[in-house]
Amino acid sequence: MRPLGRMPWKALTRGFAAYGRAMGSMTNFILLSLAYFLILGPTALIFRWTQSRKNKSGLPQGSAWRIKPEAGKDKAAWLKPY
Amino acid sequence: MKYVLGLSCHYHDAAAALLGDGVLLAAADEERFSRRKHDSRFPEQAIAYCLRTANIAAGDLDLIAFYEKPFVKFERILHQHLDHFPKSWKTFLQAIPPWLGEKLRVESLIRKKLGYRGDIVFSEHHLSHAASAFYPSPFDKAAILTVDGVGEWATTSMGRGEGNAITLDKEIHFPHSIGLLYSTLTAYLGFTVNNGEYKVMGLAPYGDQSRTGNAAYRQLQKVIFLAEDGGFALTPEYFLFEYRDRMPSERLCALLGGPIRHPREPLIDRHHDIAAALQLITEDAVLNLARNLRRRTGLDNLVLAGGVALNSVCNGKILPATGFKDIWIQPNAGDGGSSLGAAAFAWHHVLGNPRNTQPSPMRMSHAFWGPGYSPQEAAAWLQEQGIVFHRFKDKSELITNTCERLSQGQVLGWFQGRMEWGPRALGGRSILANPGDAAMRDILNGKVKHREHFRPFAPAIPRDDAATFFECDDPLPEPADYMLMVYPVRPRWRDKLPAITHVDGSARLQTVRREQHELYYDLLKAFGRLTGMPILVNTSFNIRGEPMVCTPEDAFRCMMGTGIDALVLEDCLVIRAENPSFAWDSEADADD
Repeated sequence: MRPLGRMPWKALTRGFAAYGRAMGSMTNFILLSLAYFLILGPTALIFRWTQSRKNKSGLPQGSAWRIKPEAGKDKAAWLKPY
Repeated sequence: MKYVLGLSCHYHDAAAALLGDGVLLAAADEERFSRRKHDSRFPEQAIAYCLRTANIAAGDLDLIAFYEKPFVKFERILHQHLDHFPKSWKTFLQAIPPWLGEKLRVESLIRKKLGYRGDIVFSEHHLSHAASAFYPSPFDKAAILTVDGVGEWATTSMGRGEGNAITLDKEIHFPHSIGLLYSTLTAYLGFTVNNGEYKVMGLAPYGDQSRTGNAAYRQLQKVIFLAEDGGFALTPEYFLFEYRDRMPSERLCALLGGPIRHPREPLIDRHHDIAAALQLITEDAVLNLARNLRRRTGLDNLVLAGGVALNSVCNGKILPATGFKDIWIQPNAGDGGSSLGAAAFAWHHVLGNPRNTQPSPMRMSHAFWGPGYSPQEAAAWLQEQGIVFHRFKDKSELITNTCERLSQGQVLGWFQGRMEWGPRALGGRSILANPGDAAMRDILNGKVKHREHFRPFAPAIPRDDAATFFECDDPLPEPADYMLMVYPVRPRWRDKLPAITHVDGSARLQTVRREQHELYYDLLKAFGRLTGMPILVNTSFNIRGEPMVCTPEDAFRCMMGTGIDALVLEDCLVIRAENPSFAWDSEADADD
């Protein structure tokens, strides 16, 4: 049995940290992919279907101006990040 | 006193700006402190500097204003991924984690980092740009135009400002964007997006400037549609930026007759023509917007902000082409300047404070809002470091000695007063040289700046001498003080000013008023008495890949690692040859 003091703690710690990082990004990857294909995917299909019924011409062919609503003075509205 | 702190971050060019009772006290980009070019991280050091300047703590702030609405921007990002399902999968995986991590939680991030408990106002991206252009301008009434890559949804907006009210009534939404068109072609030409756009502007004069002769111009007309009402729309097939990490599509490559240029590939005539065509198309689009805005508002004054407002070649053509009589452009027109805009918007629009005095309390008549060091502090630092230096006994000796060195062909670092706000060096943190020396451009490019051969250097000139040497607007608009206008050099001076005359005979001049920077103005005048031309090459005090220097230490390191001959640091003179060579390879970090 190797005495505790002679264990390669530094290498082990680095290894665990790298594993944790990889699993963290792997978890992110899996969760985000699931969200993309299971939530965004069906939403995209519904969205596209409704858009195609509304506007068959797609993106504007001419000028793309939109009317911007007047910026209100209500302070409470400006305290919201949305 | 009531303090409002404006912040911008999380896209590019994080910055902070502090107002005290509506008066600008301090403003700086985070990159100058962190030494990471275009640093987009939360601007902790810039905030610390602003608070230090006013001698207050975060708890003394009455309001913090953030430059955009993060949830609305996130909505746009989700929407663009939704639109391009399933092709957008890869960018979705890249784009979403930082949003979930920090960007959506910006309110708690601000509170946590600063220990701040007061109100936080969230302006809108283009309202922040508009406010950064209108409130600090000299105008009581002006038409407002903002043009950039993209904010939340808007990429372009127009309206008017009067007194303390800003009304933006029309906007163009993503993906139709002049800024993104410019960035796409910047990527196509092998330069870095959000950094290489001004290089493309410098490359353009090498190409065919004729709208009828330049084939690339005719091709690019298929990419953007310009409407009679001033609006425009991009043709989506030519772009991939909505769902890919590269911007130009294969179809755009086919249209322009070749693949994307590799950064190390030599630039050929085809690239020059494409850069020229892009510049022409950009001018068409911006001038079309400005003409329409002038017709709609009937106002004589125009204020401009957004990244596209840094296109100084285009800016120089606005007044003669649109009917506007005067123009003002925010010196930090990109996202960094939005921190000031957000604070100004909160102060005037949200809190309702008047702007009924002339000049307005927020009037910006110079750009020196960054940190400064007294001559005593500079000398103490040099002494502490054991650096060999000399001290000028007075201002007159400083000017005489500096002029002599410049006239002998030396390249000097010039570190005087407070640091500039915005991307241009304006005499606070500049490298100066003699513009009459034909070899100076190569010396600066080769020994000091290590940058592309085609990029021009800018001249600095006293405002009262500008019309003698340059064919500028009369009266000369104020943005020329911030190096935001390009004008032709008068033909008789072109041969005498080889270092600053670009290949098409133009120059991006900086005009200097004595009240802005007395020492710098007097230096230019003294150089004029010595050489017959009161003009100096003025380029930013940095090397490729690094932000401009901020502290005496940055300046000393930059000098010792480059071919700068001497540094005029406040009233101290540091000569490179008198100091042991410094173990710092100036090219080591030069990646762009």
